[in-house]
Amino acid sequence: VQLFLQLLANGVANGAAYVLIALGFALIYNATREFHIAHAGSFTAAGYAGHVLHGRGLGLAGALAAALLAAGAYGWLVDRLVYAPLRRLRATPLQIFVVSLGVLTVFSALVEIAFGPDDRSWGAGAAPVSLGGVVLPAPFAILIVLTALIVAGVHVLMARSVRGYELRAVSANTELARGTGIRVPAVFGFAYLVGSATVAPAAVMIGLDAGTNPYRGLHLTLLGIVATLIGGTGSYAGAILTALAMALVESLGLLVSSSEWTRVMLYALFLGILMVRPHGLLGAAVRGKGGRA
Amino acid sequence: MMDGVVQLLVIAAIYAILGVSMNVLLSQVGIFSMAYGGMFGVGAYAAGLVLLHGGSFPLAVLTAVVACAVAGAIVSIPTLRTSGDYFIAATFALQIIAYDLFVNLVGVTNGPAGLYGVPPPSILGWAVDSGWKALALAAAFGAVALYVSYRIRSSNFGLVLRAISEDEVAPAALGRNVYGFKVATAVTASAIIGLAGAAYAAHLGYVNPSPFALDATVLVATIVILGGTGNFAGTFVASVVLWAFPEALRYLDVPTSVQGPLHQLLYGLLLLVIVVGRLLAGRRGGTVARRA
Repeated sequence: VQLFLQLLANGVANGAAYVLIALGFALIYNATREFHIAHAGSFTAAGYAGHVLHGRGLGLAGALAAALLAAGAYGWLVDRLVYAPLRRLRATPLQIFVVSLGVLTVFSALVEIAFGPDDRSWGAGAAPVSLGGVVLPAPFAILIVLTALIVAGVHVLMARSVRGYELRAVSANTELARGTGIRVPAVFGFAYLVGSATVAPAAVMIGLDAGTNPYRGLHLTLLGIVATLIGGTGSYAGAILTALAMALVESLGLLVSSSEWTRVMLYALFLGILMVRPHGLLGAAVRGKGGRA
Repeated sequence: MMDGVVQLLVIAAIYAILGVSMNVLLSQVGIFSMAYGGMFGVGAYAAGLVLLHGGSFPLAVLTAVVACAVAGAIVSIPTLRTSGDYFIAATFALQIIAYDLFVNLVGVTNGPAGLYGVPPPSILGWAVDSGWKALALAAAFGAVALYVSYRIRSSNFGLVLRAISEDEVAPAALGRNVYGFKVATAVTASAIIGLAGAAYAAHLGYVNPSPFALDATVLVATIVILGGTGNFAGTFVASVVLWAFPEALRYLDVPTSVQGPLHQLLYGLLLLVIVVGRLLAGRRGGTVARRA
């Protein structure tokens, strides 16, 4: 039972990171339907920004602030400088994806040239947090709290603010939203800004715990993409719950198998689910957005 | 010197075969696969294992082709009914599964060390024992891949596929099985990867996991975009150009630790610049299939 509880806690801790990345990807994807694989770069940008400022003795709060700024700026700039011109040129989704892959490749290579390929440690960590015999690294304990706050914050943003309403309108039907006078490019920019910044706490806490390298973000982003698609396009709750479930499958999978097989199990499960439910678990048969279908 | 050039051309030809396969997917079906590294590895390991256990080279090629076709079917059948985004995610998952299997399935793949002592190919007594013969073999495989690709494009089948890339509803209304065509083409494109995998395993004599990581997908994509989507022959030219670049870099004084990321930087920039450039030039037709 003790082992089970510990694995459960590890699952929730990793799940908090997966939830943030999935939520960030879902915010962008639901609004724009663009396969923003360069989302991984916002995790990387946040990680190195936090790492550099943390190293300057600015503490955890400074590192978090820097990471939020870096991730948000990265996402917003990629949207303004790359995707927005492509949309004006009427690029196809496939072309936007290939360009996104190009952006990610260039960004990761530049980071690797600047910082090297290996994990950069953030220095000695704080003492682990222990509760009823279950032990978690301090950064992950903080991350669980931060994730809960961010999920609640995004919910309030979507439910109460004007920008939130506009974002939901654009996600539901871009053309109709445009017709009612919503400035769609500004909403897209907002989605990229918020969706990218959302990732930052995960990058900081994982960096504190395990270090920062140029490539960890891509694997986490794949988890976020899978959660968004399996959770059902357009459903934030679906993406969040799926991300959490994926982390639990990974961590509780250790009860039946060893650690090198958990990724294989997780993705085999994903392919299996696609065979049974091609549109994801919670999604209806979504064929593009209303305006296009 | 000459030997080095021949070696480079063999490797370039093998990657061009991968490029032709991806080119078929991009230009005929309008989808992108993230699993080029993993599928290439499936072919290479399948062929390497058959050869190590005393199987003949033709049997190894057949095994590699079938293994890749099966892997392609696993990701295509569930996803091609939905949007291309699900195909990207499924092939990304396949890439991770395949790579983890290469590294962790030690009993079969020998883990990170890989398979050693794969015998050189020999076809009905004709032993491929020199660089030139290896080049001839790779070129022959390339010709097969090109032939299959042009057949796909110019057949009735291909005409329907091109209609699909313009508009899926029209061919469906005419009673064409759009989904069936897409799956058949995706499986054929996957089978072509098996050719490249078998040629690679037999040519190098060993198979280890490192060439089959995600980076390979970016390289193949760059080859295809540089050569021109829909232009299968151009893929070969682009592959030679991109494989010559690291060689050129070797003559400049670039520290080895930076060479890997520099290659990636070039590939990424090429992807960006060419796609944007084509859009600016406003060319249609042969470029990446236009789908709304």
